[in-house]
Amino acid sequence: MNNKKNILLVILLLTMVSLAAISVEEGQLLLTKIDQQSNFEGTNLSALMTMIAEDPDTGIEKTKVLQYRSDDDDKFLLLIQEPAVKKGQGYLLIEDNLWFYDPESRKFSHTSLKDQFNNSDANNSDFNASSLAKDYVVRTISEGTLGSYAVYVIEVEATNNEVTYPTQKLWVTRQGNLILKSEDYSAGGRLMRTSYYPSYAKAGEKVIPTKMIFVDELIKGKKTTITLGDISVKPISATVFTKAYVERVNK
Amino acid sequence: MNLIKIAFRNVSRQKRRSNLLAIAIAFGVMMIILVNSLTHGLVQNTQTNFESALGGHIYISGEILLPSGRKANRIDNTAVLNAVIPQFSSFIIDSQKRSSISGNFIFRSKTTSGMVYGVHWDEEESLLNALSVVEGSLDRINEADAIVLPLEVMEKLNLVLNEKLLLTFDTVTGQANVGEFTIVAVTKDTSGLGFSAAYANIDYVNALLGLETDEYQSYNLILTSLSLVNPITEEIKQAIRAQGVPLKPEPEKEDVSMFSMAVEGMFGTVANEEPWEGTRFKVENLNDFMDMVTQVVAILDAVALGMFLIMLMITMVGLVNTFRMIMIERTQEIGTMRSVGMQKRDVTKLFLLEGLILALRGAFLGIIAAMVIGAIIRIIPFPDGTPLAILLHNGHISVPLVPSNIIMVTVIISIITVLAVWSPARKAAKLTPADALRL
Repeated sequence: MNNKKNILLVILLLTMVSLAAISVEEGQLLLTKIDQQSNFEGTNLSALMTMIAEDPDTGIEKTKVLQYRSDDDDKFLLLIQEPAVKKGQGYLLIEDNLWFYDPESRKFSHTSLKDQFNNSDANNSDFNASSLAKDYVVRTISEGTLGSYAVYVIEVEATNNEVTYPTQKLWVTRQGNLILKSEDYSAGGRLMRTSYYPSYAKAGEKVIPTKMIFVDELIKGKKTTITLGDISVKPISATVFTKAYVERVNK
Repeated sequence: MNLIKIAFRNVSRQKRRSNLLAIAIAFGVMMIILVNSLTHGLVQNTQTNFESALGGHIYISGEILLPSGRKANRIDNTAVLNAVIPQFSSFIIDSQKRSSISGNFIFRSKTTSGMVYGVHWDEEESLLNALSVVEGSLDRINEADAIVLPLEVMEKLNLVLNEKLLLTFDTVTGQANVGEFTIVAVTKDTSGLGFSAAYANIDYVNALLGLETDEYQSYNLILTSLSLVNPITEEIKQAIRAQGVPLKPEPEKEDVSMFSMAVEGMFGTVANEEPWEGTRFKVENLNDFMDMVTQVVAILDAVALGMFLIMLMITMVGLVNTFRMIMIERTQEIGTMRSVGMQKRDVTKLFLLEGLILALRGAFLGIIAAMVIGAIIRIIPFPDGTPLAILLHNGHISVPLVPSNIIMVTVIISIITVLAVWSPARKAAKLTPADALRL
């Protein structure tokens, strides 16, 4: 009798666990939700980013960047405001083409979303609209904690060659679906970068991280901290996302 | 024969004047030979250094179009090369299949950019012989993650032998990747090309890049002669086209540079060209990278030619004037010789012979002087890291004395001297004995 009771208890517990656990399919839906709440569809985003890049070799560099996003059109513009020596440098994304503008030579040169932004630990793609659901497939998902937050720990694998990191591990809050931490792995499975998103703000109906910390896992002591301010979702003229505009603001 | 003996005796009579003339001719000959030899050595060393750094004379690479529209540097269709290359086997002394990674070396908190060539060590004897090892040994190069690193990188990152080194880069499909290497040997960069090329096992490099074990990104050929580089390149292109596979269109001349190629290789530029299927091949050669050197050499050759012509003119003017003076001084002697039966043509021949002897004596002195000065120049050591390294061989200037150049200069000087002497010789011959003796 006791044995039967024990077996029934085990079956009940297993059933509860399986009902509570989130499935890979649900994990994939979660990625979609993350994209939806992060992307500014039907509206624009502008913000002032303050970037502090710490490098044990070269020291600390502070940069201020104006950010404009038009996610509906797959466009963004990053215009460096400080330091003075880099003022006017711009990164203009128009669909699949990312251009770097040098005000010294007044020329645009083709660059890549996979490249580092301004020699920091942030990549150009970090400022683009989120496309986790399109670019990644969930391999495993489990529940866990990160500090005092209850999170889902999701391991994702790239579905195409357009992304920089073939595999990532994401810590996503169970309440609110906010990414708190991300580990980015190389094609060979080595941890290259850890990204922290400790704070978010609401911008209209969407959410945006107001602080991002990118830690280089290959070079000890190297990291970049980005804080966002002056966040606005007011409409931005389409002319802002043009080469002509970038040249004009530099005149 | 008498005339030759008389000519030798006459040249020896006015030692000071003859020696001065010979020295003037010698100086001109020496300068021309040295300048020609220096430019020859410059080109030779630059070609050798490029050949050593780039791994051959002709470089065949390929690219494929990814579904996203971006290009990946890889040769998917090796059957084409297997069919084409044997057609040129009689012109090829060696060939190398390589892959390469362009990325950033990382050690602790320091980074520096660099290139790693993946090589088949057991097939690259010429590379093994060319590497100038300053630390470690090449005995361990067949270890999977072994790397032969340039001294420049070792010093920048404060590395020691047997240390582990990281390299961050993009795979052929553009994903971020990290490779770990063990330093087994350190080499000195003798090419002077200024980029830090390391060497590792191609199997490991391919695995890091996302290529199959037997794949490669470039096929480099070493030809039997440098003069064949351009014609064989064109024939290979035609043979590849005949296989029905596409060739990359020729870029604008301004775009062909090491830097632009490295940038394209690193960023995998978006293909905004007509799409293609399979592997699109690119065939380049050493001369494509030596445009600047070729221009400098052409300028140097033009300068050398200009110097040569100026010196010839000066020599001619000097000789004409000198032999006019000789004719005036020896008028009575000419009269005496004519009066004892020497014919006009013999007088002419005598003066021409004297001129020729002076020219040959001067040329001989000039050649000796060029050899001595060339030997001294070759001894001069240049420091490591000098910007001139690309022009040097093992830290020294090369001054190869080319026999054909020496013969050519000697013949031209001789002809010029004979021409310069011709007019005074003819005038001397036309003098009548009576007039000559009366003067």
